[in-house]
Amino acid sequence: MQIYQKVGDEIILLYNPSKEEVIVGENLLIVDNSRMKGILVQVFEQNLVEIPGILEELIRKESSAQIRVQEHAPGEIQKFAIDLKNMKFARTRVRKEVDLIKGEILDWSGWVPDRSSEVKSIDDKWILDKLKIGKDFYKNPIYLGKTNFSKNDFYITAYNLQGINVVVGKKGTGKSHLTKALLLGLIDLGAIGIVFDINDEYSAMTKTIEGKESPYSKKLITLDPGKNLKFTLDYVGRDVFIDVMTSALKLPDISTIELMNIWDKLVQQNKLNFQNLITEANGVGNPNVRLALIKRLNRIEESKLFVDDPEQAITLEKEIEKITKGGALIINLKAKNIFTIYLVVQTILSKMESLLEEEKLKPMFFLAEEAHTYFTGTNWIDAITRMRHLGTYQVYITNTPTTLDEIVIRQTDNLFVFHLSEPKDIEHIIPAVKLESETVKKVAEALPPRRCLVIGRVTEDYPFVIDVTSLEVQVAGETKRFFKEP
Amino acid sequence: MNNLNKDILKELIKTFENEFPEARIISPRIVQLDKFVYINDEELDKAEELEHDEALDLENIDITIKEIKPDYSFKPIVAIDTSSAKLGETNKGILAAIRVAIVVQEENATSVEKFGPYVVHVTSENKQYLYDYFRQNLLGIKIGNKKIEAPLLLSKMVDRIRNAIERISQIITCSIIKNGLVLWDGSLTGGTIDTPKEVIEKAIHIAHSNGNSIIAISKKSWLRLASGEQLVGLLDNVPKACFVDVHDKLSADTSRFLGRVHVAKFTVDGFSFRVDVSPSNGYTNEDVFSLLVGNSAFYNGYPEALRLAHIHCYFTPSEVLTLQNYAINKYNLEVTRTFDIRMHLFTPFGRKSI
Repeated sequence: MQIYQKVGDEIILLYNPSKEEVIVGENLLIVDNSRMKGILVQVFEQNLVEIPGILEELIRKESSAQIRVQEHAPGEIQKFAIDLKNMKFARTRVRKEVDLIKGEILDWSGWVPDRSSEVKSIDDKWILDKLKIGKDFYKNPIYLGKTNFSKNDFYITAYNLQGINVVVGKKGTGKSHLTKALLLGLIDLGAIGIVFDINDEYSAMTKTIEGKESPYSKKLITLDPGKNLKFTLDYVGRDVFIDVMTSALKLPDISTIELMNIWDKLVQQNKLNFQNLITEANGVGNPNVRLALIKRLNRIEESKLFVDDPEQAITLEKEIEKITKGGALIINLKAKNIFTIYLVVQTILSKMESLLEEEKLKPMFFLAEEAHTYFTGTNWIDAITRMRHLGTYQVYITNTPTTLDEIVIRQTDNLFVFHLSEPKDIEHIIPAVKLESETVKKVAEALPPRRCLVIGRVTEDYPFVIDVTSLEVQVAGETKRFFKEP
Repeated sequence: MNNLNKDILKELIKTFENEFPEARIISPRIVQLDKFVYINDEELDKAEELEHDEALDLENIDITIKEIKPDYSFKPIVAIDTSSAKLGETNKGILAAIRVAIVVQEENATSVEKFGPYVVHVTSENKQYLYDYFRQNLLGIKIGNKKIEAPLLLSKMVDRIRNAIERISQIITCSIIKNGLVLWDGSLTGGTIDTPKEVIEKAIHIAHSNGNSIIAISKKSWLRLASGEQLVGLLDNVPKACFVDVHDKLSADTSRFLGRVHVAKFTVDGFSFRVDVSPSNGYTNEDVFSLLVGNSAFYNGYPEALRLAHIHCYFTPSEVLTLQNYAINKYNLEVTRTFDIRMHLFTPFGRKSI
């Protein structure tokens, strides 16, 4: 392998694939032994060498397909011809500079080795050790899988997950799998999580692959809105309730004022419950307001999300008490209508916020799949600013990166990228990382399922491509199907 | 002359492998990979001889242009061409590659047979042996007691070998079809520096005895009047396929020309070429032109079978690299940097060349 060209921070290497191979994401060390210096580069794309005449040769061969061509040539020539035709470029980016005397990795100073330098593949373990990434360096390690090239164990520290984390990738590429590995890792370390599960995928982790009870069966509490997830109006509070009525159910302004008056009146009379709310709404004089209120309250009633009996309702505090040594509340939002989802999420977020503010809860993580379907602009800002500072660390998972609010992208601490091919998706997430868009684009396009690019605080901003670990628990949700077989 | 057939062309691979004087070092030819060109050193090595052999001096331009009317009665066509490419210089001599392409166009199918690349190592020690081997053993040229010296320049020697292989191949093509048209690149001029008259005569004899006519088409013709004026576009403004028989207008001794010399244009919008024709018994030159136009496709006025033969025998830059790698590996050669005096002395004005 030889240096062919340098363009900016890109080093193009030439190699013969019949003798050596590189893969996207692989790290290479280019060493100038006379200066005892080197640079660490990372492959982000492979290309065939464009040799003028190759096209002509291919066209000649293809266009004369009707013509039988018989060759009487020394047999070995064919091997050399194939080698030449298949010569490849490896496009790499300079990541770090290496001081071989001190054995240190440094930020790149712009120095470039000359063409006679030695190019050698470098074990990921060497880089991980230099960057002090790994189980041996952490008190709170989470195992995520193996590095793609050297197949080294890849650990991150939960400490560095305390911020904003984003997992993106096309459907079926392994986002949820990674998120589950993150969640189980956090639980193992005693952390508490709340999962907004729109596909009912997480509750399956209470069982092993064989169908037995998993070690997490008591640590994962599934809350199903309308079934075992019910609130009293008093617990939800006026502001959240009104917000749901206006945002999700589009209650007009005049009707909203009327509802607020009713709510305040019932509180003053110490009679606040759902049934009294409906009764009062039925007594509103303005027929239009009355109809607007009743129609919406009936829809909420159908969701069975509110109960008047506090014994039948839950509180977050009580549920979290059950998992104080590590666990997660799985909020099953599958097949719920939008206002139910909205109401549940808003209630939980606002309760979390107030409980954290009052220091009634320890810092915790929430994991939100496709959050754009239930987050408003205010939610994004609140989550990223206030809640983060209060100790709510967040993991956003989406197959539509462009729906992530810009404030999320700008504040992202760690990014996990699975296969993506839409340029606009990639462009949208670029501000989240200290990496140029071309690398992310080329790497993201080349990622097969279950392989992802990890970059951020957890990797000291060095991009690693990893194969996500398999889990000992069930990970798939069940989709009802008409056709049972392919 | 030996009974020449394709097996001889196949066996030449072994012949050159065996006749490969050991070398230690190679300075490979610089191949520019930033642009694509076909490589055939014949046009460089033989430039002077080509001009000498194929230039036609006409006494006057009082000529009769005849239209070529296509004759569509089926005739098989065979075309042959060779090319050579220098691969580099060794500490002993020159390393080169030579290839032959023979194209046969039958009624429903066209086939291409390629022989080589022959990797040839010509040194001062083996050049006379190789020269004699081709002339006497293969072409069967009788030299009597008079020894013919191999060319002094090794670069010329590579072209002599290429020419000998081409002549062998041309003779072979004269019998691989029956009652057809044999297309050659060049002319039917004998008694040149590298081709004795008897070789062309033998080829014509074999062709005729198989019912074949030979058509030799020169890509580069020097048509000029006695005054020295060039007549490149003699037929350019004639709106039809046509030819002019210039044989009797030639000022030179025509006994060396073993076919009838014409200037011909095979398609309305094609180029004109010098075309030498040796028709089979029972056919006139005009018949042969009509059969060619009726049986061949043309590209810019050039017969497709002959064009295919060129395409398949010429070397591409990547092939030259391939052959260099092959030779370096097979003969365990050490590579040294190519010394290009122009690059070193005239930089930045010097240019690398292929």
